[in-house]
Amino acid sequence: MDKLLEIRDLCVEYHTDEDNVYAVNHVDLDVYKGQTLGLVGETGAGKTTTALSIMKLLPQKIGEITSGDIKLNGESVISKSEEAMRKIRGKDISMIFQDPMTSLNPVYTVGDQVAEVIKLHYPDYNNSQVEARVDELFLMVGLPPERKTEFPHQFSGGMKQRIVIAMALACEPQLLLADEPTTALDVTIQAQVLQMMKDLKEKLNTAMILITHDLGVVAQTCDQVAIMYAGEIIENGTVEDIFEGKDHHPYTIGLFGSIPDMETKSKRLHPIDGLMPDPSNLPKGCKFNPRCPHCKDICREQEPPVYVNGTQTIRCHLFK
Amino acid sequence: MSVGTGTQAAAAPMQKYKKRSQIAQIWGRFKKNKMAMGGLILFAIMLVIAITAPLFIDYEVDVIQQTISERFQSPSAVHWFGTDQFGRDIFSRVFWGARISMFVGVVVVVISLIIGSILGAASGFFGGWLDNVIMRFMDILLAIPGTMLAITIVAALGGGIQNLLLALSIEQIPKMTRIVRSSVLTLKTQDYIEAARACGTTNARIIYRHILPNAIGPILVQASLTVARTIISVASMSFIGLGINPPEPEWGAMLSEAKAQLMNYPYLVVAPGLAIILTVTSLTLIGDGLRDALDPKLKN
Amino acid sequence: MEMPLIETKNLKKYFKTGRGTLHAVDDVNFQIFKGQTLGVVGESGCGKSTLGRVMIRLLDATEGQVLFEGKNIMDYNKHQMNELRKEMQIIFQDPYASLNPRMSVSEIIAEPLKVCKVITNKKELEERVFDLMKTVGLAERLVNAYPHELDGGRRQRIGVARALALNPKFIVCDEPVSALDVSIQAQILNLMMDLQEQFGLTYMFITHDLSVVKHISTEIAVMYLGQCVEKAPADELFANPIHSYTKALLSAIPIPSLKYRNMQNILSGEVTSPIDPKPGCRFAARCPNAKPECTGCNLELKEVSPNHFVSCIKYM
Repeated sequence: MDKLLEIRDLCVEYHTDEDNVYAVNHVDLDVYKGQTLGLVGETGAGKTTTALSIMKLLPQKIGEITSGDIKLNGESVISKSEEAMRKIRGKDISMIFQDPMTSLNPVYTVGDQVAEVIKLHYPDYNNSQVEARVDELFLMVGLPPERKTEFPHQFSGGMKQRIVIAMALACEPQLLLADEPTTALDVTIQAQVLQMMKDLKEKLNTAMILITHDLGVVAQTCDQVAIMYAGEIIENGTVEDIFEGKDHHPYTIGLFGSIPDMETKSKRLHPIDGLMPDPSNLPKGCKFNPRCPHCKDICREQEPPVYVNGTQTIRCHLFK
Repeated sequence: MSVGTGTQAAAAPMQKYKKRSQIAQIWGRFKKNKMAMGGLILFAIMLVIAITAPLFIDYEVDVIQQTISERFQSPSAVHWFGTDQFGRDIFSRVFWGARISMFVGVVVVVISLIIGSILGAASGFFGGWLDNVIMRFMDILLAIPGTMLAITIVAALGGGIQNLLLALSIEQIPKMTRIVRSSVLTLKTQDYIEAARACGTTNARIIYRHILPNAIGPILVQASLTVARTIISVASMSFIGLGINPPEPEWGAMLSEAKAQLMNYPYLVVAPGLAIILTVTSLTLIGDGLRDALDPKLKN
Repeated sequence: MEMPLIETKNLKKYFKTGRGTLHAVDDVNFQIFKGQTLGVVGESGCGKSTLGRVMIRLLDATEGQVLFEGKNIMDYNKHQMNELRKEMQIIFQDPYASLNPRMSVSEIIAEPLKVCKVITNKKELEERVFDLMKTVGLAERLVNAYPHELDGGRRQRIGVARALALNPKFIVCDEPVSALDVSIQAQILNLMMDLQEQFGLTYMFITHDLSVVKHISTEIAVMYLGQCVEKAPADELFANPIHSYTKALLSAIPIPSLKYRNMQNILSGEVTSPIDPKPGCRFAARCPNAKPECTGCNLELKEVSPNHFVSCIKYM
């Protein structure tokens, strides 16, 4: 398998007036061509920050990549100029955001907004070529092309998300970053959109990072899974490793224990006690130690090493 | 505002836990804003001057009495800002003028705040025909340019401070009403209002316990800006001779008197002009600072 | 037979809009018995939140009755309603919008007690507040904190404590966990189930999340465009769904297990608008088994097996 994206030792900090927020800490990630990586974690785990770092879209002045490297096709993204990045964004890497309602501009027709992306990256296309491409994209995401002259408010949430996906795929990017693309949608619509994304990914051989908090969505769509907690990847592996493997990080076990099981009717859930630590004041040693049921002395002192087991990695002192 | 009152006055166990009232939190945030603090200090100085002026200035002798022999003196150790065409000390007159401007500003803001809050809260909260009647009337008032409205009222009812207060209040009430109404409209759809209804809270209690404390931010900001605007309005009304009449030392009136001598004695306009600028600027800075400090969602 | 704690009879709630009459709740009938939980499931716009608000009369019904302990509360006058407010409460979805940002935790929890004048003595009031905080698992030291200083899970606990303050019998839970992270969601669900056991509470649990509703409910009603299309005990509904919409809904849930990969049957089309709906089955436009006679007929819930009700032309 060809490696498309390689992230090594990525650290991101946000600087606020009072303190520094350690949003992403020493993250290593690999994304292979045509594969989907599920990036799972709760609010504030650093999923979106990781994605924004790949795009180099961290909020200026506040967000800073303090160490590490991000390579796309072996070429470092971090050192690229803003001008060079603008050519990459939308063409090689594109991003879909959670809320389809706010990702579209209400004063332009949806067709114009899709055309805009095409014109930006293919300046030599003439008008009829652009229009033909817009029609093609509309068909691809399952919308009738004649609706391209309508405005965003005339579409439902699921359709808007389809338009956003059409925009993201307009230049057939190698990597698609999807940040909770279906969280704002109803379940039946979520199923439609996920299925469509899966089909398109196969057709176009696009790699995807799917950011989500929903393990169900991961099980249905991903090939690789990385679980984030307090800015670290605490477990990483193939979807089989995570859902069917034997060894797991205690946080992963806690996450699964928190979801009501559809098959057996257990009376109580087994959630993780406590709360995510404040990212400006992370605990010493393992970041999960205050909530961990297996916490030992070493967990409070030393950061856990990465335990490698075939395709699976776990950051925990329990495994040696 | 209702913050800081309530259960904290109660007995033993709750006192174990330090209560940081919201006023303290708001003050904490306000303090960090250097511009706003600058404005507050400046305004406080103006206010102290206005209140204590009678202690060191004799109204009859320093402010009103004409001493023709001393007219048009340049600034000196005796007359810091010089004297005017009637030989009166400009320093004393400007300081006394602060009393008038502050008084008018505060009275107008209190009147428009009370009436505007009642009308705006009723209009936004109950909606329907009441809203229609109140807001259409306010629209009519807003459709007439403010100064024109004030001029018309004073011209119709005659000069004097009462009519001036009335005219300026009528000019400000619609603006206050609109601000209060729009905050009430957004607040009344919040879930916590529905939660209050679910335990049978009366409308009056919902308004004063849940809606007004949350609308206090925009209202206070508007109030501080209203004072600033009113001070300018008084000055401009006096400048054209419809506000405070000579020999009262109103800043606008002083500017008006000085304008004839502007070419020969330019220092005459400096003091009253500066007084207006400083007061208005300080209030604007306070208003901006309040806007940021009053948002409870901003972290400390 | 035992009397249900709360019951709706032909309950309707219409809203007049610029484009016609919106049938938010259209002829809904069900009963909830004491100590049980009715889960109400549906997608956005199916009228489930409106139903919850009509049940406790935060909104007046357009037609029909809500019987609480056998009496129609739609006929209650203001005074009777104020008494009844102590019996029924609501927990909201958004833990940020449902708490007054200018009130401290203790003030928020004490507010219902003050409004209903249940406790007037300051000392007792304070004891009750601490008591409630303990019940919902809030640390005592948070008593004077303000909502914006707390995280979503703790805020939702405040919402629960406020709802419990008056010792209600019936609580409408309007998506109480959907704004929370999974691990926090599980904490709140456990809390709600413990409270139900401890105080014998009756819940109406509104949600779009089927796995949550299965976990907490005794009975489930599936709503589509203002109508209840299927109603059955929780296990029965999941084991043996009958209505095509229920089947589609169940199959659309992403299950966190690899066994079901690529096994979804995906429903085409989207929810249409509940404004001036035509008579007949409202799901017909999306139903894979729709027949011409589905439109135009009048449907009602039919009991197809014990306690399992379906509204579909196949069973009329």
